Order: sequence, then structure tokens, then C-alpha cells
Amino acid sequence: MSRFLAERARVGLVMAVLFLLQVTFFAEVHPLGVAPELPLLFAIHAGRVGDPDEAMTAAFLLGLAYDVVLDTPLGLWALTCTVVAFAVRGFVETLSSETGLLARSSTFVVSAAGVVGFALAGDVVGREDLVRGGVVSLALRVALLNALLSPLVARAVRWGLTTGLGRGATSPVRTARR
Amino acid sequence: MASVRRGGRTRYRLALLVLTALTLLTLDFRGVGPLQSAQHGARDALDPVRRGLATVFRPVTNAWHGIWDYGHLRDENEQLRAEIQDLQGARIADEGAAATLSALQGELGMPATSSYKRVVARVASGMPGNFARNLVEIEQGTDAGIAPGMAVTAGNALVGRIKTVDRRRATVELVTSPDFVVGVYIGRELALARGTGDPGSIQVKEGISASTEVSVGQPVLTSGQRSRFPPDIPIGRVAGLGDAATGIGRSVTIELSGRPDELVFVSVVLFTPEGG
Repeated sequence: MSRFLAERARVGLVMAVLFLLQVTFFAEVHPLGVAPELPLLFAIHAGRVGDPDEAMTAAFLLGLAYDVVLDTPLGLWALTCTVVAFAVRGFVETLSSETGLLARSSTFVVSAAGVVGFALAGDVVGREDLVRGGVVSLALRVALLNALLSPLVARAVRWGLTTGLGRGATSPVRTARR
Repeated sequence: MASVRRGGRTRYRLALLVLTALTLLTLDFRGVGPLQSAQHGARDALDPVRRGLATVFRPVTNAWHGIWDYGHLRDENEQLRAEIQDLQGARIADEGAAATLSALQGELGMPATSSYKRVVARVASGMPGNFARNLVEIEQGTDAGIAPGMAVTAGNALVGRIKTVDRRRATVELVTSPDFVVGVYIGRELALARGTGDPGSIQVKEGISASTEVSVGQPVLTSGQRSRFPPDIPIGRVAGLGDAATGIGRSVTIELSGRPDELVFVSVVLFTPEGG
């Protein structure tokens, strides 16, 4: 029981730190004129290294927490992060490493797709303001920031998830290394 | 076989989470009361943590703004010093006019704009995320009597309206938002001005009739009609006239007196059409 709680405490700590950084520090500091999307970055790395089911659930919960403080529709980031965590799994099947240039490139692509997907999904539910004003430029800058922050977040997520949840043989990264 | 079962379970989990998210989206879209209350409660619970961390991070964020915004701030200070000198001269003439207006309003039984209660609030920060371009957060909420729809001013000029409000925080939709609408008087004609996304101006797109006397530099104030705001809140001055998109009458561009993109402190006018 204590191990179960300790495992969840680790991933909860990582999620809390990323969430609080997103809504406090990066609400003020905007490199390149944008803020990174740390919940999206968490979803990407959780999908890479964690148990698929638990990674999607964690991504959903972090996205939902993010939705609560935002003006955007409740559930939109939860939906986006869940789908991203699932989709990344498909990429990971063909990779043997979660770090390096290839991993950063895929982080860039998935981050950009996630931001554009979020805006388009918002447009579908009546928030056409989300796609106004250069969403592609925004997505590319956010993706660049996410790619730059990726090594740090990757370590944190790996610490929280693979030594916490999803320790079994289900991670394709660990399978490839055997 | 085990991997097939596992893949099926993962898809089941994905479907469940996606359906949950879609349900939340639907409920949010419909404005379900308990869901909104839960959201307000969660934000209220999170507020002390955000304030504490904002204080902790302030030296770093101040250094960041000092590095990247220094040149802009220096130019702005020079411009503001020149404007203050102009305003000091005009103030003397305005004091006489204000006294006359106040007397007239008293004679007619009209409430003066200055009689509305106001709450001063510090602008907390930009909103988290990248999709709140025309929103800011202020550090006052329902505890101070603030309610959705109230006018927000800076330097007495309209800069926005309260959009959502928790106990000790509120979001302000800036006047520059394309979704922002305010009733104004242009000359003696009532019109609706809308945000354009430009931080320095708003526009009356529905035609002002050609017979209406409008000149560049003419002050523009809220009308108190066709909107939730009280009358006579300064907005700006007429900056340009053009052809209306409808082809009938003229459009008017209004240069804002307030600076919605550079807010530090604002005042919330505690006025609602129902409560006064």
C-alpha cells in the first residue's frame, strides 16, 4: 500500500510542479512571445515512457487541471492531452530512445500538432476566437519552446512514471533495450 | 494474445477518457451550475498557492521584463512626461467644466459617473496559456463586490469588462477583444463600438449617418444604452472616418485613451443595470 501511494505521489509531484510552473512563472515569462505548454509536453513524454493506460489518465488529469484555471472550454486540454499521450505511443513503437535529436524533433511536431488540434477542437465547440490571429505561428513557437524544455521534462516524467507507475514490461523503450 | 488484450484495454481507456472530456465540454457549453461552482471552488482553493508562487518568482519575472522591455519602457516614460505637461494645462479648464456638469446633473436628477463606487485592483499577470490574448487577471473578486459585466477603467478610461469572477480573482475582457461591444455616442447618434484586436483602437462599423456631425479628435464616451455600462465613461477620441462595411453611412475609428496592453492597476465600476 505504501509503495502504491509512493508511486502515485511521485507522478503527482511531477504533475503539480509542471502545472504550477505553467500557471505562475510562464504566465509572466514569455520567451519568443509565447508560453510553453507544459501539460502538452507532459502528455508527450508520459506517452513515451509510461504504461499507456496510466500515461493517458495522468495526461487527462493534468489537462483537466489546466482547463480549470483557463478561460477556454472545460475539458478541451484534457481531451487534447489524452489524445496526444495515446498518439505518441504509435511514434514510440519505432524509436529506440526517448532522447536525442529524433526525440526532440518528434516533440516539436507533436507539440505543434497538439496546439493546432486544441484550437481546431475549440473552434468546433464554438470558440472560433481560438483560431484567430495566427494559430500556426503560435503553434510553431510553442513547439520550439517545448522542444527546448523537452530534456528537463523528460527526466522529470521518467522519474515520476517509470520508477512510479507503469514499471512493467509494457514500455517499448524498455523492451527495445532488453 | 496478452498484447492484443492489452491493446484492447488501452483503447477502452482512451474511449472512456475521450467521452469524459466530451461530456465536460458539453456541460461547460451549457453552463451547468454545479460544474461552474466546482470550477470556481477549485480556482479559489488554488489562488493562495498562485499568489505565493508569484511572489517567489517575482525577482526572476521582474528581471526578465527589465531585460526585454527596458527600451520600450524608457521611450514610454519620455512620452508620458510630455503628455503630463499637456494635461496639467488642460486640467484647469476642465475643472470649471466639471463643476458646471455636476451642477447640471444635480438639477436634472442624473447620477454623476463619479458617484459610482469603484474598487481598485492590481493586475495579477497575463492569463496562463497562449489563448487568452485579450484577457487579464485582477486580484479582486466577489469578496469586493465585483460581478460579471462590470466596467473596468484605467486612468478613468474604459479598458474592459469583467468576464468571470471568483472570490478573490476576476478575469477582464479587454476592450480590444473582437468580442467586446459597447454602446457609445458619436455626436448625438447612438452606436455600437467593437474591438478589433488592435491594442490602440476600436471601431464603429455600423454606419453613422452622413448628417451626424463627427470630427477627428471628438471625445467618445459610453452611452449607458445598448450595453451594461453606466453612461459617460471616457473611451477615447475619434481618430478616423471611413466608409461603412454595409455601404450605408460612415464607420468611425476610435483611438483609446486607456492602454489595455499596459495595465498595472485598474478600477472596477460597481454598477450593474439591475442594481445601479
